[in-house]
Amino acid sequence: MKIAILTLTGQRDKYIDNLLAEQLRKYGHEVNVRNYIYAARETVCYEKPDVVIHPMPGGEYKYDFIKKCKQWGIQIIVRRGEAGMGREQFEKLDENRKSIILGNWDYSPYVDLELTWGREFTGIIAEQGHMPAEKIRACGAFAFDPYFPETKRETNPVRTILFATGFSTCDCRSEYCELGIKDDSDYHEEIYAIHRKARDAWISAIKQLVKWFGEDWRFELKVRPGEMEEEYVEKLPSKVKVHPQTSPSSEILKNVDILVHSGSTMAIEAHLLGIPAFNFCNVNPDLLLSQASPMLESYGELEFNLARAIIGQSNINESVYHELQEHLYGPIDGKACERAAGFIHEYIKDKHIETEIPNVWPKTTNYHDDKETIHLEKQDGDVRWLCAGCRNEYYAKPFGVTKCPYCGLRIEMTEKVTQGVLK
Amino acid sequence: MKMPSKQEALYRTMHNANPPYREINQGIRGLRHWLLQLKEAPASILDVGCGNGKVCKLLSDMGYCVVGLDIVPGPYDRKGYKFVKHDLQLGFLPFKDDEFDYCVSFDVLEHLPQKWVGQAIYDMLRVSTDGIIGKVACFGRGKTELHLTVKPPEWWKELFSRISDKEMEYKVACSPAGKTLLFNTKTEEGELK
Repeated sequence: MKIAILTLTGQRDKYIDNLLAEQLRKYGHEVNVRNYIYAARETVCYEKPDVVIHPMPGGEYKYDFIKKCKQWGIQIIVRRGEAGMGREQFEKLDENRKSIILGNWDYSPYVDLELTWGREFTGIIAEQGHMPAEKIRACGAFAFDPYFPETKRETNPVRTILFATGFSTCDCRSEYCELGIKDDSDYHEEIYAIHRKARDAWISAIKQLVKWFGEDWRFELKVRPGEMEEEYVEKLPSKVKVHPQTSPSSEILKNVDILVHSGSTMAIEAHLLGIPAFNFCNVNPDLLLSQASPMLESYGELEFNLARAIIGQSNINESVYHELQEHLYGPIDGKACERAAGFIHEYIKDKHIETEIPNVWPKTTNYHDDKETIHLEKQDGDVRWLCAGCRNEYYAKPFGVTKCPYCGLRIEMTEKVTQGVLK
Repeated sequence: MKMPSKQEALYRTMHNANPPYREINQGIRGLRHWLLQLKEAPASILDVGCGNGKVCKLLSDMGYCVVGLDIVPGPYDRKGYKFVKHDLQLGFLPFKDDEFDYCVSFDVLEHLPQKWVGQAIYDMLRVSTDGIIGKVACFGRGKTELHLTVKPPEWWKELFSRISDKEMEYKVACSPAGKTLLFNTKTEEGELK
């Protein structure tokens, strides 16, 4: 079978998708790993795969994508890039959060198989989400497969601290900052305020640390996908090395001694490499994951703990680590991709797949809701907008937020961007 | 030595001190309805909440390959089938995906707290390839706190249909204590007898 794996981010997903591709090739399938954001539609139209492995379909663009693929006869398999949540934690969430995690749109008619991490969240999807139990398979903790088999890591001569940011909504417009949440929800503003406050605290703390320990320690920063590197480069001292967003976290972590995060899965990655980690200004609503590393709230606590951390020794809360495997991630054993490939092969091996895929992605205006300000033909005062997702053109005022009438992708035109475009 | 949980102690007492609980197995009556629809022996069957093990014994005597699972072992011998001790509230069924042909469960789901019921149904579907068969009581059990999820048959039907893609068949039966819901995954052979 010809399988296209569409990978969402270069940081973690690409690494894991390559491992999954390797496992699928062992079954004799022809597998290509392609970038979702820049090449999803082209991959389908040019390469004409039988099976597409797709990220979790949140948002109009992805929903539209799987719908079309399914109509053309392609088998759609969703691989969740995030673990989801354990039941205890999930039941405490408000409806908005729940719907981000489960998906706002019922994607079950277009998805043939969904691959998840832990069984508990799989049960939640079956019960409260969109997919029936028969079409979901729990594979284990995908994100940690690259850390197996375990390797010995050398410590640095100078204490090297990595700050891994987690404030993905900060560089978006506050009223539409969370993908997968409906436009009119108050939740956008709420989550934006939490992220903004935490990011400000981080920037101020890093500045102080560099001021006091800049000569003795080394500082590095990894920016979470969705945030703008420039925001940090401009505000932080040049002694802080900012990694490009596309660098895989597993590679960056291998060269640092201490991790500071804000409630990230990287806490587990650090543990697997024997790196002490601290959760500073937690923004993760999952209480279990937040407690994996010691939680710190103030600059004083951060400084105290960074200075006293034992290098080369994980400080994870062991009982939380065990609970996380039980209730959230599933087994952390380096075999999630192997299991996933087994499930995929099992599902497709006897299938007779006949596809009818066009050579060019059809141009349909399913998302042309705002006909007053967004136009398909140029009108007075309009400039040309080029959608970063589907690369179709449309016309609107030079500033503000527009929703692409062809694929639903929301694009913001700031003054800075517009100046570049209009030159 | 590991102390038994509150639930485990409760069911141990029920088995030891309550003769009707020890003797009666609601599944026996229910199972007769479905036996004709099962694949022929030696298909594999998991009995979730096997209680005194009478269903397991019956099935294993018929040649089926049976595993019984419960929070405490029943009072009788367990010849002919394998027993696994497991608390449904403390984790997933200790079996691989699709390990059995069928999963049967008689008067068990109502004994779980409501938030774990969906999880248990998902898990039973996970370990079985051909479907699930069982019964739930839709009435309370007085002061014994045995039935933790007491819901009308419609509630259970809605829950099953939400979790499973397979077509289910239901039958509501009335007993002096109240209503019970019989459920099974629809098979090609036909409807419930």
